[in-house]
Amino acid sequence: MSPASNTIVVVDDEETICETLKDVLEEEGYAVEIASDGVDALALLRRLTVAPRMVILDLLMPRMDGNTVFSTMKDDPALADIPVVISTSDPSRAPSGVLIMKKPVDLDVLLDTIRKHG
Amino acid sequence: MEAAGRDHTSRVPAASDASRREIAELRQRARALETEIAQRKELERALREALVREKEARAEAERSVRYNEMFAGMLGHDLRNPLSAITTGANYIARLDPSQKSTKAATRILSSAERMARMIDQLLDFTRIRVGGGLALAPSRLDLDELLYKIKDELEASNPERSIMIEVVGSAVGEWDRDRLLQVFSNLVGNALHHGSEGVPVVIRCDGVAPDRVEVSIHNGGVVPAEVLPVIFEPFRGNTRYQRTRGLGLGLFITQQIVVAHGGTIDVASTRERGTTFHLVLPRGARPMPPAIH
Repeated sequence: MSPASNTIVVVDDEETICETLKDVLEEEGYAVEIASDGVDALALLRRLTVAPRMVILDLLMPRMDGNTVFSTMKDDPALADIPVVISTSDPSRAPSGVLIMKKPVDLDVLLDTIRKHG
Repeated sequence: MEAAGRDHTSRVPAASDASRREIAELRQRARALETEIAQRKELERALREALVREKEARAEAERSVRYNEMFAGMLGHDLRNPLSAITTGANYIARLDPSQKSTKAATRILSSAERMARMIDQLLDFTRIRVGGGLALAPSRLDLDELLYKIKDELEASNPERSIMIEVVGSAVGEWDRDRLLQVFSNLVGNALHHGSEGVPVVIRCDGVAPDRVEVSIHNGGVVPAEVLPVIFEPFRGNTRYQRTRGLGLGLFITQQIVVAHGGTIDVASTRERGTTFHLVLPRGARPMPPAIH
């Protein structure tokens, strides 16, 4: 997979958050893929032929939580280098050493984070 | 013979009396034993009942803890997540076109959603304090001086007609939980602005002269009604006259609990002549006190 993709993957079980972030990011010129839980997210990431520019990952989700997605990605050489931002209302649950964006997401902070770290 | 017979007859009733006394004593002992057995049985029954009650109480306590965890989970995720969606949506509308009327409406939605988020955070803190075993602290090296100026800048930006003065002596460095102290001083300085008079600045004095502690006082020209003063740190004082904000009346309670969790103290003095001063003492040490349990 090439790291030159312009795709942002948004993983959140709150559909309206996914849809709003999609609108905002598409307006800024990004392509957006959405997954509503950890299982879908990993399946989506493995399906993409080009590595996404960044994954915005919620923590508390049904079926598989964000922490498990994050550790699975780190253990998978094909996914380990994709930048991840954890988007959560409770940063104390996030794994250490990861970029965290506190919910509710400030859209300027989000866009700035993608520009800097994506 | 007569004498012997008299002797004999007189001995027989004597022996019989003794036997009767013995029998009576035996009966009395038997009755006492019966009573004791009955008492013991009663005691055993009471003990069994108490054990059942204790078991029930323990099961009830365990249920309460489970409900509490569910409640905390509900507040932490199930309520905050849709609120987060509201905020993100309003944030998006507010960015679209600043000249539109919809931007004003979106800004109002944002402001209400932020107020609701603060209340959810307070309820979550209250649950942690009262049922969950207390507030967990993450202390790290912190300069209170920097924290107080950040609060001053933020509050002056949102209250441009008001001014906040900061006086610092000595070193304001210690090991504290940054986010929690931000919460404490935002609440106290915000309250001081809200309840103070417009012409009078809020004055924050930070005294770090002592080697083991930092003392901070926050003063405004307002006065706390005498009936509120003794219960000012009590939770849910939302219905009092002093509490004009539309919050839950938990801010000062949580503030006090954060200070106590740091091993510190907070008190308040208020008179018409001298205004109101909240006074905090924060030990500089890294090791916080065990969480306060009620």
